[in-house]
Amino acid sequence: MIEIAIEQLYFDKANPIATGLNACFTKGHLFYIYGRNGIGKTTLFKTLAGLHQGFKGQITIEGITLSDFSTQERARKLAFMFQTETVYPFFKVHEYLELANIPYDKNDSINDEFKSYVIKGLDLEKHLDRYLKELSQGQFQKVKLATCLLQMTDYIILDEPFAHLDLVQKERMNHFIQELVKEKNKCVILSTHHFDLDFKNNNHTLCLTSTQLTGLTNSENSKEKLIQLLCAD
Amino acid sequence: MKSYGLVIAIIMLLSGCNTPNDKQTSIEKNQWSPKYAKGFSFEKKDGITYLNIKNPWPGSIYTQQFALISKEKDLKKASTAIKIPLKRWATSSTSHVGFAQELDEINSLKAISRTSYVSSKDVQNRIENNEIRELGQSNQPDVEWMISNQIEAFFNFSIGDNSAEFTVLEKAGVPVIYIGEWSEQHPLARAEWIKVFGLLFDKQKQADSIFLKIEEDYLQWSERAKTQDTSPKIISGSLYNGIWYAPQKDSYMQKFYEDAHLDYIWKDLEYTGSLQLDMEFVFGTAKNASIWLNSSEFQSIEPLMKLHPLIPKLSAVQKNKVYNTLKTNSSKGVLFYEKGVVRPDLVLKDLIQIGHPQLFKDHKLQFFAKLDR
Amino acid sequence: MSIKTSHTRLFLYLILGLIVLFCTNVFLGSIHISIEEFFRGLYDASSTNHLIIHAVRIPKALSSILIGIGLGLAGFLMQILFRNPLSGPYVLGVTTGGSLGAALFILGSALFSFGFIHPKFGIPLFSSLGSLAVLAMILVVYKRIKDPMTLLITGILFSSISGAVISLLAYFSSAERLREFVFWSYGSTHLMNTYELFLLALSCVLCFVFALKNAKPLEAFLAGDVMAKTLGVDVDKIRFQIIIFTGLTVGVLTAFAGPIAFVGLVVPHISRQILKTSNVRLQLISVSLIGSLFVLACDVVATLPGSALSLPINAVTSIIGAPILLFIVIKTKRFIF
Repeated sequence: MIEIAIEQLYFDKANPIATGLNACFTKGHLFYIYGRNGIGKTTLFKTLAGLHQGFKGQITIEGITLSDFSTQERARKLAFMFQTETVYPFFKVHEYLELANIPYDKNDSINDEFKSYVIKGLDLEKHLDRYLKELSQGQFQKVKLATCLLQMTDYIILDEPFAHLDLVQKERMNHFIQELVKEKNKCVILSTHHFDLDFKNNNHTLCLTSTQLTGLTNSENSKEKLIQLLCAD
Repeated sequence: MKSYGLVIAIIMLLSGCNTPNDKQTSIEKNQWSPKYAKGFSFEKKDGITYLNIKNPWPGSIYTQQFALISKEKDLKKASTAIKIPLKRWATSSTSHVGFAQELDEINSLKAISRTSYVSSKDVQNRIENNEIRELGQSNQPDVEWMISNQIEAFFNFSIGDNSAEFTVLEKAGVPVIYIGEWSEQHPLARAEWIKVFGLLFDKQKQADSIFLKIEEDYLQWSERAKTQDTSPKIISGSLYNGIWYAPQKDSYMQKFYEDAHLDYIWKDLEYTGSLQLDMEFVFGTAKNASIWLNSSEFQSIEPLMKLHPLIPKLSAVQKNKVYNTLKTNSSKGVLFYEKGVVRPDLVLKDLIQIGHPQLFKDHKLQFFAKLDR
Repeated sequence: MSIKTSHTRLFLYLILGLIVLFCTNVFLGSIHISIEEFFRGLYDASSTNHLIIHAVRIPKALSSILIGIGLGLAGFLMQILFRNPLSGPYVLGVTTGGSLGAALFILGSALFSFGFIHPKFGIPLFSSLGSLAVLAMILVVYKRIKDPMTLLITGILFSSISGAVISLLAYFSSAERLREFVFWSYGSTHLMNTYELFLLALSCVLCFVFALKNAKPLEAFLAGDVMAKTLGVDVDKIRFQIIIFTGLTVGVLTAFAGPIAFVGLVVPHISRQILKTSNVRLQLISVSLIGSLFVLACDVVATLPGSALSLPINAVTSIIGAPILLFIVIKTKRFIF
């Protein structure tokens, strides 16, 4: 379980971007995080990745403080997918996927069964031998997600994984992630803007505002509540 | 006795009158061209003598002409006039020092570029006593100093047109004379420029007789060398980073070698400019050359041999006949570029001594030094 | 890592090419030697050509190979470090530092006196010191500001400063010294004795081994800083190590061979065109092979076989390298990395 208790998230101490972030993320659950653009979702995720140091508070993973993990240990516990910077276009898809081996220092620590499960689930079989530069944005997005998953971590944090995907692709990816959470007992935290709120099973919806991280419960007017929260900022 | 003396005097006078004009700078004639040099000539018009410098720099399109005025009243007649004899002059080149030294005009030299490169002991003494001023870089001499210190003429040399930089001098009334002895290809041609200096210091007769002696000795010694049976093979140049840089064909040095009856190994290579030769080629063609005129700054053979594994195999190295242009100890100057320019006869004698040591047994090398082991 | 048969075939061709080019380089020179004389010269110590082959040509060919490997590796690592296709081994400014060191020794004797140190020893010594000084300064800056862009700018700054000091030294030096310095800056594959070849080989090996051991993290680098970090790569440490190993290799190369242009810039690009993979292990081998082929080929051209003259290696690598780079850029239609 990841426990966050962040009083302040900031770039500059005088102007915190977000305050009062308290939450628990457990395995076997999926967390959708909503929030206005620029509110700090990516920054929060980067903090979890150890890429952002500006925060006041505590983050623990299974009881151990985040900062006590070495980079490699953290890479074996948490996997991230960000909207990346430009990347080397001559990666072949299967080579890019193999980057997931890196935290394990071995060339083939990825379980073959799991690997084919992920590749199939994200419809990547046909693309394995293509170069990244030949892919569409949506396809590349899926490749990134696949690499992230192949890191074989318990906790997976995704920053806007549905960006660049058409409706069908988005549905399938959503479905696949839910399946993953349920069948492989993973914990997935993702940020999104899509409004099809889903409360079934172990899916949770949270909204990040500048003053808090609120969880929404399943009710008739949960969508309105969400919109209200979002507009409040 | 007295009558004999008179007869001899008359004969000498008569022979003086009959001396062919190319041996004497006779200013009575209207046009006079030097025998060997190509870069200058003299002219007389309306009672004024003119000095013509034909190519102030290679490729220039015009000639310099200076009116040489000895009387104050004539100064206004010509636009570019030089008042002779010069009493205060400056130069950018140490070779000019060589000419001046021969004519005993060191005391009138007031400033020179790069004083640390002067070889002449007399001039060095004057420099140390602050009687000669440092002018700085040869392409950017201290023009202001020259103007404010009544320099009457600035002797310059140039490989290209940088005359614009000196207009300020000319406007201030300091003529800039481009001495082009360095572009002459014959050793005697370079020495002949002493006549220009002679004219400017009003010492024509002295200049003439000095040159005459130089020419005579040069030709005589060359004849003697050419009677020798052997013509030792000579190479020149030095190695940098595996490439051998040798001086170009048809140059000044080549003439020296010929006249000293030395066989320059690469005289038939058809390239202009200086040569960059591969060490393999050097070894292949020149390993049997018995003399090496080295152009680096090493003073002994040891460090030379470390430059390349093939160097110790050169015959000249094994026979210990490697020479260098001598540097005087107290300065960075090279005598060869100073006195050597005006005294090609002595340079020739050095080369003959190196190649045919049996001819001038008592001669001590002045311009070249043997690298010792 | 899967080595496909196509890759193996490619490497085989490259190695074959290397052997052929090596033999060509040793066989050709400014003196024409027939095949028969050549073999005699190889084995018979008393033959006249023996010395030329063993003392001149073979060391020259070996140093060409090592220079190619060193520069190829350095260029490759720099392009990964900065994720920039225009990076070459010189982008850190280490080479200009080396030039400054050499300039101090060659030109500076007007201002300082070095007693008598033989140039064969003095130039590499001073050049290495110059390279080390710049490398140290860059590492100090890097420790404080860990941004690659800053590193790039710092490298350019140090290059400019070094260049300015060299100009000053040149301005006040004599014509002979200036000429010597200019000749040094032409670069040279000649005159590497066993000791120098050994040092050169050592630095290439160290650089290669380092890159091999860190092949995966280097690949992660290509995917971006953020991605690399989330994969557990200690990005700062790896960058630091890249700077050190590249700096040392380039420093040693410059000390013994002078600055040689274009090789480090163009060889990784050629390698990427031929071997279209991001696999760092494969690229390392490819870059080393192509690097040595390139410099050997340039050296054959520079020797101008059969002629007495020879060209400076720098001119040849630039004249051959620049059009190749241009061709690659045009072929891929944009200067992507």
